[in-house]
Amino acid sequence: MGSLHLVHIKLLAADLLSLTCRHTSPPSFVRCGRTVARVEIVGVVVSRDRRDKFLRFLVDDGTGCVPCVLWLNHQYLNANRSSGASVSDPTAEMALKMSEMVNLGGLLRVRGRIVLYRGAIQITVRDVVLEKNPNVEVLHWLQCVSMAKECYDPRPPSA
Amino acid sequence: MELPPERGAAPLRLTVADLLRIRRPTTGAASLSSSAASTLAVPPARKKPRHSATPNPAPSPRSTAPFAPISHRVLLAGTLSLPAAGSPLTCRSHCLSLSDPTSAAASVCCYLLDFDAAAVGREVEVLAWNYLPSVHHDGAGVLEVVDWRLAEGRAPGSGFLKTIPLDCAAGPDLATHGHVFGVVRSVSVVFSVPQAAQKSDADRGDNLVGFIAEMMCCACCQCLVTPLKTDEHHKFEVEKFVYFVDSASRWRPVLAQLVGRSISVSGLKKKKISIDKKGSYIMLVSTRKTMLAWCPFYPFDQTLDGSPGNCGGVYTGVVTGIYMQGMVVELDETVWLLIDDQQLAPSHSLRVGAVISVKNSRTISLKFAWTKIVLLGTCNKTSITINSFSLVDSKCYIKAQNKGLLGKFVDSFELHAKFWMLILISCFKQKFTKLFSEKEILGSKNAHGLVHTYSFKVLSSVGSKPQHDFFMKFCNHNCGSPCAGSNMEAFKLVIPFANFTCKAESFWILTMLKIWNGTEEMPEIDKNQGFHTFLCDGVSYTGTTKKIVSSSDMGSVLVGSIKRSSLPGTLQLVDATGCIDVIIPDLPPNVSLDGIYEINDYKVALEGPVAYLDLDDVADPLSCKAAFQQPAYQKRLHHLKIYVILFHLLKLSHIFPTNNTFQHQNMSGATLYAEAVIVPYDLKFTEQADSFRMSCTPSFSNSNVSMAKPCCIPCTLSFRTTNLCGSLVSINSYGPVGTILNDTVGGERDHISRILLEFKDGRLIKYQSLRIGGYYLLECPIESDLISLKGKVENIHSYDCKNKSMVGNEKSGICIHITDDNLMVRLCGYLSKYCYPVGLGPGATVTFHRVLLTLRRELFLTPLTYIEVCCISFAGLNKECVVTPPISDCFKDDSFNRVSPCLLFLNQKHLAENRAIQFQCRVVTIHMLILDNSLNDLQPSDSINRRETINIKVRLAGFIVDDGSSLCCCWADDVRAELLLRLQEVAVLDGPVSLKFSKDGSDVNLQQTAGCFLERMLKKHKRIIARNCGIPPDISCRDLEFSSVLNKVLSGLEEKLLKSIILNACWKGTLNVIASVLNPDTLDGFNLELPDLHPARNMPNLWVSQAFQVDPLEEARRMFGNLENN
Repeated sequence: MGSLHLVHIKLLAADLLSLTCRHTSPPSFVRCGRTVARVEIVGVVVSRDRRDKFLRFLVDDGTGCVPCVLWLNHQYLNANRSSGASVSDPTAEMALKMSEMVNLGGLLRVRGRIVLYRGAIQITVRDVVLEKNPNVEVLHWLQCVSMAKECYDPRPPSA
Repeated sequence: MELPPERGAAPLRLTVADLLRIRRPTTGAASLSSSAASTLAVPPARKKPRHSATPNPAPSPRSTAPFAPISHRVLLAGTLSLPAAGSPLTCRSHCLSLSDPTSAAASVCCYLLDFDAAAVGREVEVLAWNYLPSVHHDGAGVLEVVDWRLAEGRAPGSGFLKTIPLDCAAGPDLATHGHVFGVVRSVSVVFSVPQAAQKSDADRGDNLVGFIAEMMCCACCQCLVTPLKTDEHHKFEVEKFVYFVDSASRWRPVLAQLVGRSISVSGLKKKKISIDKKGSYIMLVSTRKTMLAWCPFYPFDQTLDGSPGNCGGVYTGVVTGIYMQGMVVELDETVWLLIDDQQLAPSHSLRVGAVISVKNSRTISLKFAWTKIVLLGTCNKTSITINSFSLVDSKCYIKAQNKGLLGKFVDSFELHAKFWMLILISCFKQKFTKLFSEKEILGSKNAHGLVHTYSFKVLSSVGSKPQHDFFMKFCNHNCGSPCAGSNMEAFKLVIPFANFTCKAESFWILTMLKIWNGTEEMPEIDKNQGFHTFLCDGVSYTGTTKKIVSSSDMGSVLVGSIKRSSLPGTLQLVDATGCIDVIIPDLPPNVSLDGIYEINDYKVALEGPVAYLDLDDVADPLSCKAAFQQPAYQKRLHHLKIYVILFHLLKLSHIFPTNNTFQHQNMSGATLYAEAVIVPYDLKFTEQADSFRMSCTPSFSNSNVSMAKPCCIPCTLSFRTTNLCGSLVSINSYGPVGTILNDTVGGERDHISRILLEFKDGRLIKYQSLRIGGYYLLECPIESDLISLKGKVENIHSYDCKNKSMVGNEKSGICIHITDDNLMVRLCGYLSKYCYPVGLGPGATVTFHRVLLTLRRELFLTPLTYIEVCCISFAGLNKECVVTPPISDCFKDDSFNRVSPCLLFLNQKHLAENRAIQFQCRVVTIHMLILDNSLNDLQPSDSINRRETINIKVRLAGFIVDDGSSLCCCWADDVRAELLLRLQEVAVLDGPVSLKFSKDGSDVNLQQTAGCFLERMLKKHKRIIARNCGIPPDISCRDLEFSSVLNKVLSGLEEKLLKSIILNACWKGTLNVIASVLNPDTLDGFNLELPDLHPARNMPNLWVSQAFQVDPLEEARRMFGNLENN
């Protein structure tokens, strides 16, 4: 129960970007002695860079800007599979549709894996949700504070 | 076009023939100096358009474009003469003729400013002029002479009298004794009357064309001698009428200009004029030898009688509007001129911007129900002359009318009623132009139209003016009719609904300004809450307020067709300009939707947020100008709710106990009742027009019913499902109105609605004043606590469950978030599950009737609340919304604890105690999914189209959820599983990318919805089981396995749809879940082979009892409170 590596922890950008990085292979990240691998952030898109195989964007939650990358290369990954399986896999189309939700100024909830890219922390996006109620941002801040206080920051029993 | 002459050269001379070749409104002048231009009102030359298609484009003859100036100096010359006998009647009353000296064939009608009778018959040079081509039917135009001079100077000699020639060969017959000398007091228009076949010693022909001049003549000895040679003082005291007939009628334009001046007419004979067979008159009639002369040096007599009520006044003003084909003219934006006869004014020159003088008019101050105006009434003695021409408008407004029954009906009334009729016609045309043909609205020569039928009802009590022939009307004229004393309050504005909305908004804006300036009293509740905000949960919000405007303040009645609104008890009155919501607490079930209805007595309710609103610059929508002008008003205040409330008219039928029973008893604490009959709303008021029915709380406004209020008794009205608190107000109805009501009630006895009135204690004295058979109005409170609320349900969740035991398990506390396009409100309370309608859930448009609005502006459900689901729309759902849990789940009495702060792994204690917990989570992957076919014999496409919801069943689903602290496996079935799966969202998607499928390499875009396709799939396979062999929390389509219970192989398209549904569920936002530990036996009944994969095997397994949308604001407040307390 002490492990947090399977859950998407709710973090503010400042806390995410200040995670301790262990230079394992692949790199792992630690917060207060607990390994974390997945994260959920909420913020406004302030930069967007669409490429053929991915979409890079920056999410600003007021405490910092988190680089995010949404991969759009599923069709290439499926290229080696049988044609029937490829045809029945909607992942690429849905990821493409998800990328269309990422627009400058939009309030997003982003989940994904924490990775290290060129020495900096970024999120490999699993999914994005376009939030239309601005109150979710406040709620996320409070949840981050509350979760950190009651769950993430206390030392694990084994420690 | 020839080149303009060089500067300083003589102006180019124009002949009348040159003028007639001009084909557009043109203005010209002999001098273009700035000073001259200002005095001559010649506008500066306009720039030529840059993209001129043709060198000389022909303008539209009806163009209202201003006059085009000739850029160089021109001098127009011609001979001024009296109008030709064949010229149109309108011009014969006002215009002279200007013709080329050399060719009389080239002539044009002309109207002169600064008229001098000496110019008649002489050559004049026109220094400044406007030319209007194509005014008459024959294409001839009219010349407006702004400035002119005699070509050869004034004629020698300065005699006392100057003759105005008529171009008659015969000279004056000095032997005749018919001679008058006096001041022209009034001049009639040129008119035509049929003459009697016999005893007519008029000239010839069947019709006599002429006009009458009223003169105040001198009866002194000198005046009996002709010709007059001295300007000795005369006393003009004897009234005489001179009938200028036949060719002498050509003098009319001259005499119209000489009103108030002295003239001498000789060669008259006293004759008897027989008009048809109706009557005969003896008067001075012109002969072929009649001579007309005027006294240029005799002082102008200004002794016209301009006292109110008398038609002797003079008014000069600028024309600011011309309406109703020239019958109504607005002067100086303040005074209304009602032109009785189209020939009274020179029609072509009566244009917007012109300055006119109205002589012998009658000034009347009219106070209608909705406005006050000053009306200039014309009669057959009125003359209208032009003082300054308009250069900004070239449109002729006055059109010949072919009067049908309506026109004759209008003409039959006095000025005030006639003016109201013209407003009514204009309003009816605005209101019903799209609903009825013009013939149906205005009628024809043989049939009455809507206007006639309606106005007949209102004007039935107004007497029509006596009809006389022209001679009688002119010679025995009496304008002192008592119209000013008439009851004008009965004349209300039949307001176009766009104007109504605009006026209501103006009321609101004014109220807001008063509130802001501190001059308007706020309701008590607002005072308590502060100025214009109120606090809710510690947060300041903009408050709302309400204003009630009485129909008497509006001064207008509502007439329109009706249609039922989606709100019970609510109708919409509709006309071509808009619609108004009408709240009728107990709308009779038999109300007819046919025909046109009138509402006389009503209240307008205005509700909206208190906000600073700037002064509106919209003209008064209740003004007469707005009624004539047909402005296109649009709703400006979209937050303002405007509706009309109707009250009931009751006829008391029984009283319990009877008066004599309780009179002598101590009735303290007893309940007193009365039974009453609601008088039906429908009143068919005319037998001729079956399709035209009028309805109202019977229209007492135009009767003499007294609205005195000898008693006002608070009571409670019980009627069907309605309970209302109000006051019973008595009405003393007398005379025929009561009879009509009785007849109506008797005629529709089957539809009588009986109600029970309950009176409060301590009102015995007033109670005794009730009398059986009396009519009463039930006035409901304006600040009612029970209101109706309509909006889209944003979310529903349990509320205040600590107190839910108060009604056992029958009721549960819920909180419903309702939104319109702009605002969201919360509606809380306890609702019986039996009152919970099917379809109440996020996305549904719902009307809550009789919800309680407290003084703190909180909304609560009450035992009387009735919920009506108007429509259920999934297509319009926010994608983050999910459908509501079913009622069975909403009202489960399982207790649960909210997990604070949604940390699942810290709540093992709760789980161990088998208590429900609530937490927020997101689906990260799906463990297992079993979909069943729930269709019976319905065709899938039919069902999906009819209900807009998917008809399959989620037999069981296992979701791996993540709350930010741990993962757990949540099991759910039926609609709870549908919520977590977001199945309804997917079902309505039309042709999503996930449904593009290629069998042979080409894309096939499905036309049906995903839900429809899923139904078909399950009808084919009966049951489909999906298993996820992947490791949570990651989700990959490659790990999904699908199987059919019939062992049929799923097609690629079917697999793709299922995968897209699962992926969609795993990539969505946060939900609230109420769950408890899964009983291991629960899944046994499903007879499942569960995938036994790590780490799902080690996760807590929970059974979901509820799932619903998160309210971020509410959650944030709660969490903030927890953080503060800890």
